[in-house]
Amino acid sequence: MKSRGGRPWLAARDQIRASEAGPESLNAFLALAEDGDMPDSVPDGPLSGVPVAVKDNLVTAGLPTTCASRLLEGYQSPFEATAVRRLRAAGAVVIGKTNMDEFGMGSSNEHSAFGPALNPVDRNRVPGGSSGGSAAAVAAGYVPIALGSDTGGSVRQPAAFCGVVGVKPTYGRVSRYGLVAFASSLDQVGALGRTVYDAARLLQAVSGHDPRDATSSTRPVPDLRAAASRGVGGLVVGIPDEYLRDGLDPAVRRCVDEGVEALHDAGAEIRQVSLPHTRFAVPCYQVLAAAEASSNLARFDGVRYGRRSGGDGDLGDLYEVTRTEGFGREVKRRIVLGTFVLSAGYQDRYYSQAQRVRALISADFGRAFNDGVHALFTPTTPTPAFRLGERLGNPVQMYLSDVYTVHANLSGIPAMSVPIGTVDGLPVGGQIMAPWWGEETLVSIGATLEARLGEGAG
Amino acid sequence: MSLSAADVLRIANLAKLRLASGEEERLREDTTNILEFVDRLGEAGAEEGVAPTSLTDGRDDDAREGRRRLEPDPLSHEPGAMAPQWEDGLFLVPPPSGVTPEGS
Repeated sequence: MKSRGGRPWLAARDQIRASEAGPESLNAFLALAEDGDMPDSVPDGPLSGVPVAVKDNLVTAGLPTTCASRLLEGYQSPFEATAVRRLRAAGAVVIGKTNMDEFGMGSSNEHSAFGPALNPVDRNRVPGGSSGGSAAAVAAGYVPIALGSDTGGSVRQPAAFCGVVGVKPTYGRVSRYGLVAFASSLDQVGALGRTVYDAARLLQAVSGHDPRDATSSTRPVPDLRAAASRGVGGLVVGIPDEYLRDGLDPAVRRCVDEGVEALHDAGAEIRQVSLPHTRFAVPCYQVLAAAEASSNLARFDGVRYGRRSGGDGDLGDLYEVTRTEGFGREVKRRIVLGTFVLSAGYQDRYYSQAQRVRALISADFGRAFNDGVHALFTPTTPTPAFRLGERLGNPVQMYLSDVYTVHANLSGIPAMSVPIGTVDGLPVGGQIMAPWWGEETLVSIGATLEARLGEGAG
Repeated sequence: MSLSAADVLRIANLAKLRLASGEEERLREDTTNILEFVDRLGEAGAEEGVAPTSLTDGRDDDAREGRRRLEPDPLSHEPGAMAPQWEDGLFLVPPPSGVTPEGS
């Protein structure tokens, strides 16, 4: 890589800019760092000099933060997210902000106000969402690692679609300070990398207690990088039958079976398990996420942040015109659903009921892990990446893209997607879920699958 | 659960959204479809003796260690720089409906 005045990250940025201006553009970035946004030198640390992309819902000093919404177009945060500050302290260089579904609401990146990011494996297909820009940037080789956020699968599903590694840590492992809230009880900052080791070292760098986020844990952060070489000997891996039923593409199922065989061959004990409330997870998630979103997004009213429209009449006019013009269709759909399920007469039927079902889903995992299972292995998605536009007209079908991923958010456990094969040239991801605070187990199993099934394996 | 057009308008009003012509019907259809989908929650057997939760298991009990007052982060620029209108340390907004501002 050509060094410009000892700042090789400028060349990395230039390469991305040239690629994204060309005919093969992926629309992966919403903003790229200018020369003045990047440092002259970086501290010695585990990520010294590594260019990193950051999802556009993590606030950054110097670069705008839009959450891919017209409502925040050009918005410049006066402070920086803890995860981003930790990246810089580890020596990483923030190279740009990545495209996403507006405010994190989507599974295809088609709900970005600035056009969808495209899948580098096949530009006619979606990269997944909502962290689609981060996954595309890593898969295209623009950056080795990227930060995303995962509320219902938004790191793992795009990682699976683009053929990279994505990890959602335990709720509380990474500070949410400076992550623009979508659904606060489900949101976690996540890590994407070309390899399990890269994703692990990124997660390691951003993890740990932050007094600015009362939900962040004071538990010590384990050595995730060391876990990558630990193997799976002695581990019991559970295979939940409910994840392998109707709706799963048979070709994806074959990849999962190969993953199970690889883990068995590597010394893991394979055990069938049951998580009986699995099928209720997507509706449960849709109710809770929409309810929390309708509350969190109430702050975008044209008074304090970003866009202001209307207001010639009175304050109510300003609120309504700003929000109506600023929010996209999917965001409005979720706000309407969330407002409805919290409204008088319906709260118990929908919101409280979903909170009860959440307890049941979480208890399913507790039982499996208490019975001696160290981790669970499932598909990440029921199909490989779908075509642009294929599911836009059917919200329920789009929501079912997350049919295997929302459970980890509802219960707070950590989960990772790792490439386990291809179907007609399209990547397939396998998902590993571990008990609360079990990120080391994810890394050990992920690295084993990568070594046996990934590119160059065998 | 099927929503009526009036339901959608009431909810949009609560959510501070205005619906364009055609948007109301589309939202009504979409939301009705989603509600029919989430109605299956009633089959989960969660009614008897299950307490609703908004937290996840595995939580630390020490998450409340927030009594020490934190100084705010130094801001790189004034809040006014991110606000559409800002004057003398205040966000400027139009008056609420029916209120006449002092001095006007």
